[in-house]
Amino acid sequence: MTNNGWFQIIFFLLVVLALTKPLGGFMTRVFNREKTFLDPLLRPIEKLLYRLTGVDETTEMGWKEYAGAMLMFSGVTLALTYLVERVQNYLPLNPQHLPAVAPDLAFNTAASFTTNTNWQAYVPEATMSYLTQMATLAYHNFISAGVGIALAIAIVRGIARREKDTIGNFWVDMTRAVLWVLLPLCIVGALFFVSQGVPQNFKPYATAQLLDPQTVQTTGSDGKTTTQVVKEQTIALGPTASQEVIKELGTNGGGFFNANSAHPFENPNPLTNFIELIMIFAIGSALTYTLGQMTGSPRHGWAVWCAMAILFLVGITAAYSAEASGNPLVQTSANHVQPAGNMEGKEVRFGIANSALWAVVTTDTSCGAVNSMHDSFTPLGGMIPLINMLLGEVVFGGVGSGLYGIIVFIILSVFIAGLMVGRTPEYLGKKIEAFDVKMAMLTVLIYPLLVLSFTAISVVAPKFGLSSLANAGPHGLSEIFYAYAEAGANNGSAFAGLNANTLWYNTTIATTMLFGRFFMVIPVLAIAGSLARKKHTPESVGTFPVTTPLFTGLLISVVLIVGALTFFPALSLGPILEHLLMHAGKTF
Amino acid sequence: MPPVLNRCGSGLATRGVEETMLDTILFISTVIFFVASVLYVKFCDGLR
Repeated sequence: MTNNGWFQIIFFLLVVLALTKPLGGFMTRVFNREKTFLDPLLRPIEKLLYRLTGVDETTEMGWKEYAGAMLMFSGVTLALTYLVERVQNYLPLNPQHLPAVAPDLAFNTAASFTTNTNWQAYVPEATMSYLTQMATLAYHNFISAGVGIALAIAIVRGIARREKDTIGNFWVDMTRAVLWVLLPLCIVGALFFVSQGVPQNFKPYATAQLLDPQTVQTTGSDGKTTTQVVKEQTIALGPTASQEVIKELGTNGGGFFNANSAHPFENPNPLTNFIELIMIFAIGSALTYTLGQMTGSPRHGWAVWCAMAILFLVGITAAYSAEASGNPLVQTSANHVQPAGNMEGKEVRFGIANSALWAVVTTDTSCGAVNSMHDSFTPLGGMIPLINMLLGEVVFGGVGSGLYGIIVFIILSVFIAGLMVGRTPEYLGKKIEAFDVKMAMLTVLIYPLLVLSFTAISVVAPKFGLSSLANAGPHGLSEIFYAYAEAGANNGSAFAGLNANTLWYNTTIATTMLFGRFFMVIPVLAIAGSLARKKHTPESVGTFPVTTPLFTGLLISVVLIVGALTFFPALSLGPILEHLLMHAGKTF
Repeated sequence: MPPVLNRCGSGLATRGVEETMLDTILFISTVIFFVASVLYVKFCDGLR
């Protein structure tokens, strides 16, 4: 580890901190429907949208209506995305004449982008037309992020309201999230990326003549080796900048190109790398301030922010340390090819500090974009992104999903604190009762059920589970485990090494993504509805305060303990065992 | 972010599965999932 690396990491966190109050305050005004400087421009557009779609913006919804609207909207947009992918060969903006996407892959992709996962079991530039990328995938980048923010605001309202049956209007919350929060930031961000060299065009892919033609040998499935002289290189282009900015800001993560943010057209230089990192954390961090403002307890918002920041610092310290230490088997070799640490799978432009930082940030949130290959990390370095997802991505988290995820853990924390002192637990003046804890437990349990079940089936199925796996032993287990962990957490990053574009993985990963999103969100909305109906209970001497360092410490402990109890056995058979075997001289 | 190995475009013919049949199965599965989600809303409400 270097001082320069640590300076960049700390500077990054300070910039995130500096943005938290202004952006969080702005979102508070947007969702409280107070005046903002964007109203003269956006209010007419909003009204027009409601008129066209028949939405009554003054109508409020109970939690079941809110959930129903969210499910209906997500189901319809999922089906439309699937349809466009299946007929993209008949549609315009397809200069490369790409064929229709296969049904299972189209289903996987539609589920992936609808759930804000953005897992891509395909090479985008060789699979999706410009129209598919823009009209369905980039569209979902906005909409799924907007839905996430709306859900977070709904539960915050549930906490803030007293004796009300409603938690807001889904259509209004989603529309305002997209129009006021995401679109303006994306327009500015896309222009910035274009200024840094990110392409934004509809041209067919460019072809360059190689100055030094290459001779390439390939072995076909029949075992025959063919030799080919490559004289040209195809350079993929397209409307990249506009997708790049929402990819990060909406914590979507689905790249325009296969190499994602390691591709120079998506992430040309260290400045764009830094801005992209800031974008990933910005909204998740700001929502903690919005939580404090809307519930009338700003100190609670900051206590939650501190818990997240501490978990982030623990994660980055572990990941950076592991990667900077490198692989001992390589370090001790005669030629010392890794004097600076583990550079395998990393861009030289970004180095170890920024690669480790990105890996931690992208998995603290539900982003899933990458600027290095997580599969090439050291076993412990690769375990940190995995743990971040297994903890529920509550460290700033996905836009909206991070906040409602941490609120579930807050409910568990105050419940445990209440048990300790023998009092009915309270959270910001609301008594936490059996129903709220049941819903919190449903939210927490559905994720390990999905991830561990599908991983277990895959690792004992040679025909469909192991046949597309590139690595054996604990590393192979980590690859499968990671695939389902990211799907259930709606992250979308890949450990690579596993070809997930098979019928089994496409369908089961899509299933994991759908259940991981909607079956977690529904109990969260039930908690919102339950809390909104409750009376406010004034604080007393026995109330466990949720604004103190003690609360922050308890929250961190609950997050870590729930994660450890659930996933430690699987982690010990995967990355931990691989780490021990690596020190014994064995790699996979 | 995609894995290293990928199959591009429509390649189901190599797996011997009729695309239209799979389209239908996936469509019905999606409908079943969202119906199940609505039932899950009722289930959660019933736990009160």
